[in-house]
Amino acid sequence: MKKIYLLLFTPFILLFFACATGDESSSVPSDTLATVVERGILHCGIKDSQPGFGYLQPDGTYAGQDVEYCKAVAAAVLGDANKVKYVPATAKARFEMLKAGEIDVLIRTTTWTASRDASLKSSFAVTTFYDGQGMMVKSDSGITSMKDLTGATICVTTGTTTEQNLDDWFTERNLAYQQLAVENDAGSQAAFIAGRCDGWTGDKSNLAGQRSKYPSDAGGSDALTILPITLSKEPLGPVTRDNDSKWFDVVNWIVIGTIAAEEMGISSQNLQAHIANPKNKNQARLLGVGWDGGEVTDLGLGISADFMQKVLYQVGNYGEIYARTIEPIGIPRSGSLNALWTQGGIIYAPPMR
Amino acid sequence: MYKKLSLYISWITKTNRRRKYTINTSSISFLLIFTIYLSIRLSTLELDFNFLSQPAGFSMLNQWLTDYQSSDSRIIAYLTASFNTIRLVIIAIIFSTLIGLIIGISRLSSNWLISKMALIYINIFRNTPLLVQIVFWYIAIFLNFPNISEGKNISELIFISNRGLVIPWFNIKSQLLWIFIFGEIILITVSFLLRSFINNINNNKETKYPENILSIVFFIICSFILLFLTNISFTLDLPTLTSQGPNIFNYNGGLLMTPEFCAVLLGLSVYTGSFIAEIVRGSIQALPKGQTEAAMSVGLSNYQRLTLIILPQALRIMIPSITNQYLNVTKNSSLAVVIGYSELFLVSGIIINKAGHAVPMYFMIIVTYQCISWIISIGMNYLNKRVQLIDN
Repeated sequence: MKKIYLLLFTPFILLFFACATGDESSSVPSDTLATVVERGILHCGIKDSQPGFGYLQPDGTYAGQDVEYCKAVAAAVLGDANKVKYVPATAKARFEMLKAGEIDVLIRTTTWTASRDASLKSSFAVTTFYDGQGMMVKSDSGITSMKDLTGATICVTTGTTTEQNLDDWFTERNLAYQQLAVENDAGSQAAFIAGRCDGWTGDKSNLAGQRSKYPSDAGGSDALTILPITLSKEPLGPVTRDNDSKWFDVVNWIVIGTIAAEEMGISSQNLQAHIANPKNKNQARLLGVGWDGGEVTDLGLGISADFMQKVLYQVGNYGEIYARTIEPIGIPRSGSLNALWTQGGIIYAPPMR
Repeated sequence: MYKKLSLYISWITKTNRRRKYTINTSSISFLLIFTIYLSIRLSTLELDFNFLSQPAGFSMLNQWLTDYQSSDSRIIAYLTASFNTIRLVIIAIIFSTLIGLIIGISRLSSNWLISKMALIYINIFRNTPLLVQIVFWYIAIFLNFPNISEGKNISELIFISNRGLVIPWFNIKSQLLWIFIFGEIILITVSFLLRSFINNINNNKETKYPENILSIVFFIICSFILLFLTNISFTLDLPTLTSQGPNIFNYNGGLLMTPEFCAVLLGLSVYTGSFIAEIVRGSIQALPKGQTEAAMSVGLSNYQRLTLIILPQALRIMIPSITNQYLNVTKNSSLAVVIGYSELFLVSGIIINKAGHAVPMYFMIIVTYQCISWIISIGMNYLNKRVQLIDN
């Protein structure tokens, strides 16, 4: 009989445990840097369907600029660019995944906007790619400007800021249009090929990527034209959680480091020469080596001072990453916003000192 | 350890009373822990719905009876999308029931060809996933219709292309439209009350008034008076094909059914129809054979036998299972998201992406689907009770 009373007590005992564990319901690490170092692997949220940025290749590996920056962070923090677990994040779930601690950093063609920065509790690091929303039409449609698309049906992939920009453009001019919002790029593509839509809008980088892999039986990439107009500013960059400035600084300065390295002309090719013999103090600080046999400057980021050596050795500088990932999908760098500030673009690194 | 545990378990399960205690305590403790865990989790969430009052900023296809614009607030967008879902569900329920009845009865036909064709139909559509079917209808059928510039039209009245199917419709113009709709709802209620009132009188009298005819006549006359009072004008709205640019064509006027809507509707109706067909067949077969034989022996025709004897009795058996299917239609309608029919789930996704706040939004989605499902099950339970009462 006594055992029955014991049985009756079990729920309360269990309840106690539930409360005890319930208190620390936030399993989200407040110090991501320490968590990543302890875990020994970086969880990086990426896109898996956009050539040039985050794309699952036929051989099962990921490639793209965003993927390269995941590698750069892993190289700097953990010393090995391969210690990354890529987590494909959908457009809809990405901020929740970040918030919930499922990923440490989100590098997934995410546009930096005020409302996202403020109300989604996320911090945006330096922009890695200055994108803009564009419009793609079929080359034989005779459409040469946005005005020609009055009254047209336009395909949009949901889960982007694209719908709003599109709507703004047409409603500001009091022009009619119809929008077909489809869940994924494959759906937009099927509808666009079939002629369900007259135009297909999205970030220019994405449009270029989709154009580059447009099926050849539908005419190949020549069958599509990207109109010259840019509907919006879409600065894309890595995102971290709010209230974790230590980790944010690390991610931010790794990106800046790749840009600074390009400004100084340090690439993965000539890295060893620069380490052995830095040309000036700035280079010495960037690479974490002593100037003229002196002390090594620690930037105080909480990772080893020579982190940029690892990044540059294993991944490369901004220009190398761009040439390897984005150039092949047909977005030239020279003359665009993504050229270095010394060459007419706006890619600029704050001083690393 | 293992021995101790097995001893303990054998002690627990030895007598009925102990078993009962074990089951009760474990289930209660599980429930308690689950509720407490949930409430702790929910209390840490930020259920702030203010973001819904901001302008939506995206447009929506598939509108009927609604005039949502991108400058409206997000909550209006959400309600419009909910209306799209409800419209889809209602039409799909009607179609799937019709398909189910016809196929289910054909399945029992003595005609070999008809019964085998029904069997093939059921097997094809019941054994493939609905998602695959919807995408198939959309990509393989509706997107393959001719382009809008080469679209077919039937005597300039009905247009068909891969931009949709347009049919003539009518415009209702009045400032007092809502009063008219409200008045009609009151009229329907009053007519039903009138019918039961006449029924009551009939019970006490020798000469019986025709209650159905009287109430319908009352309804029609009052509707006309209401129509006249609210000054509503119906004008025929004929669709036209217009071109706005070098290669931009559009349908104006009429009732446009987009290929997305058609594909989802077809997918849902055909898929659910195959399940309802099996329910109908099972319910008919569950009736004693004597019913059919008795009906034949009093000389009823095939049609009379089906509609007067078999179906009314089979209805009793099939309603609970059919209710399940109707609820499935409601939930499956969210699959429309893959082809871009602007229903509840798709539009919520757009709002979430723009505004964040995924948790409150999903909370709303759950509540909305719950409400739709509740209304359906309340209606079906009422119908079920009505049908069962006759059984006495």
